[in-house]
Amino acid sequence: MSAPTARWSSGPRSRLRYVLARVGQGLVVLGLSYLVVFLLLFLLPGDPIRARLSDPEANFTQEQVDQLLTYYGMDKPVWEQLWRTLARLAHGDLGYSLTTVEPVTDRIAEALPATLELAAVTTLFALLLAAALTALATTAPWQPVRRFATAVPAALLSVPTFVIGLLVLQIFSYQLGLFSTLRADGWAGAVPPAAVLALPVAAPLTRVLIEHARRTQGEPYVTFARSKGLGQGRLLLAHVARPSALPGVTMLGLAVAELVTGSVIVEAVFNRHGIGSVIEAAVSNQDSPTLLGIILLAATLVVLVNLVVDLLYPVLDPRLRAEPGRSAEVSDAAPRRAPATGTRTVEEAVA
Amino acid sequence: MTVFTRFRRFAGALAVVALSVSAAACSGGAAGPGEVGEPRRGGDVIFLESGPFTSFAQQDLRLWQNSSVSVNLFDLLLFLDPATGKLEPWLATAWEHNADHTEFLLTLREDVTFSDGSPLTPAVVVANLDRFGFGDTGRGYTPSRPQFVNYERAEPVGANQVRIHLKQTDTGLLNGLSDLRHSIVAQRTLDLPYEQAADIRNAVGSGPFVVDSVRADTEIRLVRRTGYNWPPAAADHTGEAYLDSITYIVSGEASSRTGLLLSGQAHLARDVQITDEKQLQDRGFHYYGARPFGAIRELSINPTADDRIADVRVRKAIQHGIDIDEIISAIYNDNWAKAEGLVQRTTPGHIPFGDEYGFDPELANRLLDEAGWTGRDADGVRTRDGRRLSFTLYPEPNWVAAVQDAELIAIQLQRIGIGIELVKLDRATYTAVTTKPENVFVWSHQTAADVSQLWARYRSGAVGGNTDPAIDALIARINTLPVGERRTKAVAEVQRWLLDNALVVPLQETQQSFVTAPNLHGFRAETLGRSALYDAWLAG
Repeated sequence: MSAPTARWSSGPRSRLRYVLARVGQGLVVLGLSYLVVFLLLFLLPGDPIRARLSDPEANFTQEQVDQLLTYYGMDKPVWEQLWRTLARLAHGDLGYSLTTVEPVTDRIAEALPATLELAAVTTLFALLLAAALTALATTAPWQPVRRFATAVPAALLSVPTFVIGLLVLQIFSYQLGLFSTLRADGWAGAVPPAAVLALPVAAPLTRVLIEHARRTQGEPYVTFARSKGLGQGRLLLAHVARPSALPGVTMLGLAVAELVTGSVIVEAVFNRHGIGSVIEAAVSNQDSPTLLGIILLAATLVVLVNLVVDLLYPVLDPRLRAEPGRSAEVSDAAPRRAPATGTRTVEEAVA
Repeated sequence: MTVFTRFRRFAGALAVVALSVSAAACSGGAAGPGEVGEPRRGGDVIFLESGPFTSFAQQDLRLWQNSSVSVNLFDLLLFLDPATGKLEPWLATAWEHNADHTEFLLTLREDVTFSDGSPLTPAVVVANLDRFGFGDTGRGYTPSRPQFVNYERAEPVGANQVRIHLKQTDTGLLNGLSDLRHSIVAQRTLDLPYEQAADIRNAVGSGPFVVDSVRADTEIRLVRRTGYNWPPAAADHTGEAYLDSITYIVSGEASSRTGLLLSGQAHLARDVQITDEKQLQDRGFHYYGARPFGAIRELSINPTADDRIADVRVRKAIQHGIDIDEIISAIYNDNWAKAEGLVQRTTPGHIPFGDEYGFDPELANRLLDEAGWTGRDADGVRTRDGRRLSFTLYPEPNWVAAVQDAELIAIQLQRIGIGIELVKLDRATYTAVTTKPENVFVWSHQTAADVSQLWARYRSGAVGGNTDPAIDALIARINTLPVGERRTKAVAEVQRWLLDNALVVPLQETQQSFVTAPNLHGFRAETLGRSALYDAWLAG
């Protein structure tokens, strides 16, 4: 997303304009992603209704087929179907699932709590792990420890979550009986999958944090603080942690948005019934109303998280509240946000 | 979905390792399966279902995951005994028909009530039959096809009888009434629009269990219905069901289901990995390979897909090039069986087709040579006039070892010089792609209470690509003959025609796996292989 013209820094009015511009942009993103997915689903061959009607064993008459297509609104041209969908959407109605035949809003509402719990616990674990590793990697007095902590993220990223997940299940649930995945919902049930899911989330976060913590440690104001005789711990907490957190916040924001929709495999492994399992069922059955509902949810989340992250920046780093000219200057020294996307930052950090 | 595929492979491998480790650690732990004891009342059973539940309207009950639940909620007019193939009384105590099978008179039990308290009456049975016959397409209800294609109307007769009128002779109707597609629901459910009837909480039946609670599409709890007293005569006991409750929980990952069973967290699972079957059995778990009535699992060949496959020699080469014994021994185990006829062994009408359609690579190679496919390209695939003898095969979406089967078949056909490109598709796309006229192969394993419901795809002009009206007459004859020797002969003729024309490659008996815990007894697979738990009980 390109930076909006209005800036946060120049007074309450332009702040409002900034927020409004970002919200406007968000709505455009939402609308476009909805439209693109709608058309893609339309272009894909097959849907569960036509699959049922064209079942060679069923032998429905053409009249029966036509009436059923009318019932599902599938007899209309694509633009009319889009229009009807949008008109319904304006009333908060996402339509009915083509497989479970229940309102899509109900379906998402039923699955969302389990996913939000998992995302929240995962984020917490990931933050703790990343903070611990970063502290080790940058401040541990013994170099092998610093090296080890720096190398851990790469290791975490290279083991797929299902490998760790299935091992955790086999050992701790099936063999030792420490927890059950039978009804793995609720906060307590979220702990084992979150512990697994937190590893790949923490990995890129840790890399970025380590990279920026090291950079911040070289900043003149840190040297100044150190020369004042500040202890290592206070130095880290008071002067290094906050500005180093900036790119981390971006990455975490993206990770949270992804957690809501991207935990398909971990949900399957741990038998949790959240958005991930709804996605899997909807994708394999081409249940387009459900898919569109989830796209809308995911796009809204990404837009919201991005907005929140951008608004958080000036709060975290006072330098970004300064005059436009100066802030540009400062952002050279301490990048205002992770350049473009999280993954690029990770690559840079590796290099 | 490549990550997912890798995940499934890894999960499978891990489950095997874990199983063998735990089997070694706990060998000799489980009680011998010999002493079973007397059935006892009580017990709460956890049933692991492999797919998320969808709609519980009558038209959607044939989906496996839904039927795991629905066979315990609903009753049928007639019971087709899976052991004998004979019709037995259920909601209907007696039945008769006229000589040409166009009028049927059913006598109903008079003590049956639905779970909302309403009685089973001739009127509500007629309303159910009308829904099967006509559907209500404007409201989303599809009619039952092909079973009720000849239905004309039904009428109540007196206080406890129903007369069904057909447009033409159909000797398969009564067997069709024992198909769970024709579960009988209360008038209250029939009155609902489809979107509401789809919700299991609105499904009012007369079966041995009733719905207690539902969580999204992933958990359904049934409890014993008090006062139930009308099981089919073939059941092991009378009166209420033994179990207090059954909780169905969706557990989509096969290795999880095995793990949950082994660690004692669940009592029953549908669908386990073939590689887990033996280890579970060794640990005292009961394996049930349910063989539903209907057709075997087969690979159909569309003769009109293109000019290469239109040559019967090419189709016959495919038929003789596939080695079912190798498939069974490499991918399955002795819980599974090679097909002997196009109809399942227990289904009335089954007749073996003999040895002449089996694996014979020499014959296959000779046929392909005769057909002019004598060249070879760099991959070893046969060519003729610059064209390759290569086809696309889409693995079946709803089969336990679909991909492994398809991969091995591709290897086997490659050995005789036929190239096979495997393309995996999701369920909806699979149907869309395989019903196209230019598609060559389609898999099927159709369950059916009566043989007359099979082979609709081979009628000339239907989706199977066949244009020969000879087969229409052969298939139509089955519907005019009552179950018995003459009908089985008619089946044999259809079978011979399909195999001689090499439109079908018979594979294995259709089978659905269930595993129950060592202490869960009395599990029954009903006619179509679904999990009937009326007789099930938990030992202490």
